[in-house]
Amino acid sequence: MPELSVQLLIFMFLGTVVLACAIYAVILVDLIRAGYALIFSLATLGGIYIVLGNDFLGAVQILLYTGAIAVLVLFVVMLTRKSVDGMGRAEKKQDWIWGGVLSGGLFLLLFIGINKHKDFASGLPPIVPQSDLTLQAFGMAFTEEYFVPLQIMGVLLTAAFIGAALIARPEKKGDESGKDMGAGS
Amino acid sequence: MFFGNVKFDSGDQIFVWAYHWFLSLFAAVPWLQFALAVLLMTVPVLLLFPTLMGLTTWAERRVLARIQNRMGPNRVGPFGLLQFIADGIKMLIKEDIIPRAADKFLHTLAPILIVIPPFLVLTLLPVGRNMTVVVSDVGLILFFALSGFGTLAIFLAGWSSRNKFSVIGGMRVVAQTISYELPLILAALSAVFVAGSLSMVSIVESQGGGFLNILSWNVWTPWGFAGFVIFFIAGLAEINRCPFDIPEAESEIVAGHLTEYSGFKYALFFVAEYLSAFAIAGLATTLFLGGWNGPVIGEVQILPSWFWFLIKMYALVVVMIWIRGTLPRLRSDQLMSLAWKFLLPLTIVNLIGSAIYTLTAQAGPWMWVAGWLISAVLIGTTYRVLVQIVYTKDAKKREYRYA
Amino acid sequence: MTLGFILIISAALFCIGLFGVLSRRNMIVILFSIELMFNAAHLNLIAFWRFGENPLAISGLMFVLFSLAISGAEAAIGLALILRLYRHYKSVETQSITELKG
Repeated sequence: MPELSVQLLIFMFLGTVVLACAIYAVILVDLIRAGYALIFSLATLGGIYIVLGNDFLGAVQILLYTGAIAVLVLFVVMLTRKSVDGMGRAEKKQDWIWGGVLSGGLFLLLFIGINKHKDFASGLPPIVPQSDLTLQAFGMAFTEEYFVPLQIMGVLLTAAFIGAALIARPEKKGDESGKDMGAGS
Repeated sequence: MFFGNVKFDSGDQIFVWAYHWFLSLFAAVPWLQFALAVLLMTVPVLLLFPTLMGLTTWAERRVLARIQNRMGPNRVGPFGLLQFIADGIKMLIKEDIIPRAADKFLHTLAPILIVIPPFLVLTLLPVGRNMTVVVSDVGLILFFALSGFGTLAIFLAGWSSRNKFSVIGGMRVVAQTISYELPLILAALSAVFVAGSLSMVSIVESQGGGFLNILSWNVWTPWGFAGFVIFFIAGLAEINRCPFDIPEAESEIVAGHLTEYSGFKYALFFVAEYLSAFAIAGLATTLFLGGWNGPVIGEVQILPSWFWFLIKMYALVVVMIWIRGTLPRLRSDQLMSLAWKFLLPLTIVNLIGSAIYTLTAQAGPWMWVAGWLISAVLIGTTYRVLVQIVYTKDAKKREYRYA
Repeated sequence: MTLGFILIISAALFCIGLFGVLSRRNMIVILFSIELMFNAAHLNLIAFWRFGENPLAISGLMFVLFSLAISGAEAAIGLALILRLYRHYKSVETQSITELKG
């Protein structure tokens, strides 16, 4: 069927973009470029969620990572730079070798494990026709089954952000590392 | 609330009918049909909105000129209508200068990145009945998610120019945009309670029915009116238009993040700004002004639904131009205090008012009137109290001394 | 498009994140890599929800939603800690945090 192969092509393209941007995010020296590569990678991952059939989670992923985490990352990268040109790499060759060997070994293990499992070659089940059911189901689940986790999540996020603001607060008057880059007035 | 059955005239579905007829010609070749379907849905968006943008640049210059008691461009073509073609040619043939210290890849990437989200977001708007390009049941969240990319692109433009003005300009834009995102999204959410769904098509359909198909729009309710005004102000701040255009003002920090851009890249930034203006105006008409609902006589709608949507969207764009010609620019701290101290509490109370209205509107006519009045009183008093606290508490009465 | 395909992408993303955590010495890049590992796990969960025998079960999506919220909060706190460490040690390298006394 044409839709299925087009879907496969779209999926392969998005997957390639995610992995390529992830590799850039991990390898680049310039932290701003690495930060942007990470943001592209995670936003494209949101696109993969949309292709897999739930719009809501893809939209939440894009909203969270490009709206909130991106700004945080970029500001922290800016506030922790000492010189514009950077100082080259701090990693020695054996760091790369160990990291490559361990993560490559894990990937090989997972690859072999996935291919050997007999259930994982099944095809795509049809998309649930009333897709609005999922969003309403979310709302109902939040008010019926997952109500307590929702409240706990609210408390946790409040505590996290108050804690983060307190940790990052400048302590003395002359100690602000970002004092020459004031945002706003 | 009211779900009317409107029999529309044949001009309403003419594009949908043409689309289906054209695709049925290729029923024998499914992959070609699929490719043509995708092309037929996306190419009109890519053609229509830049053309409207060209018309809007002309309208902006003429309207601003008339407000400022001068003529505006009237030489190129009849009434100066072809001015935007002349501007386009000028932008294309200008030399593209990239500063030597700038990060070349990021400097070129920023204008490309900033023009993508407005196009993506314009496909989510319900332009007419059955005429939405991307129908999704979470269209509203997708809209706000995709428009967050523009902020990142402006910051990238500011950062990659390696110029102190650009960096400060970029940071100001980020601070402004994230401050106004909260009132924007919460004001949009107040329209979701009545519709009961995040899908834009459902929000428009829930504003149908009613007297003449007009009185059921969301803007006639107290929370709808306040929400519309809040949404419009926050939307102006999101797209960096007057009176919130510190980032791009020529008399401010040179030109902010646009300082090192010339030629076509500069033009791309303005294309992105105008298209974002269309997107915000389109979303405001969808949420509050009834979308493609137009007046109905009996059972026949007077003019096609897409015509009503475009007229309302364009009227809001003209109001944006009018505001640009009238109001002075806000300072950064005035801008921040407007967002956090005034708009955000008002938006939260607006949500409460919308919830009260939604609960009482289902329960019968007297309860509906009571709900309308209660939410009006709630929002009105909050507004007066906030104005008193934030803006007039320490204001001294002005003394005028004439020489 | 099979389940195995998505699982391989998720495994590759996880291993790229692991590579970043193990081999980079810049604390901010280590945080990026941790975010990548989180998202690989989310992709895994979504894949199993999608291909599972109960496509209407909301628990898979709920898991991912709560995990997204927690990973966002964790990124915020991690970045605040990095800022604090930078102010004290004037560097974001892991090798420069050598003294215990603040």
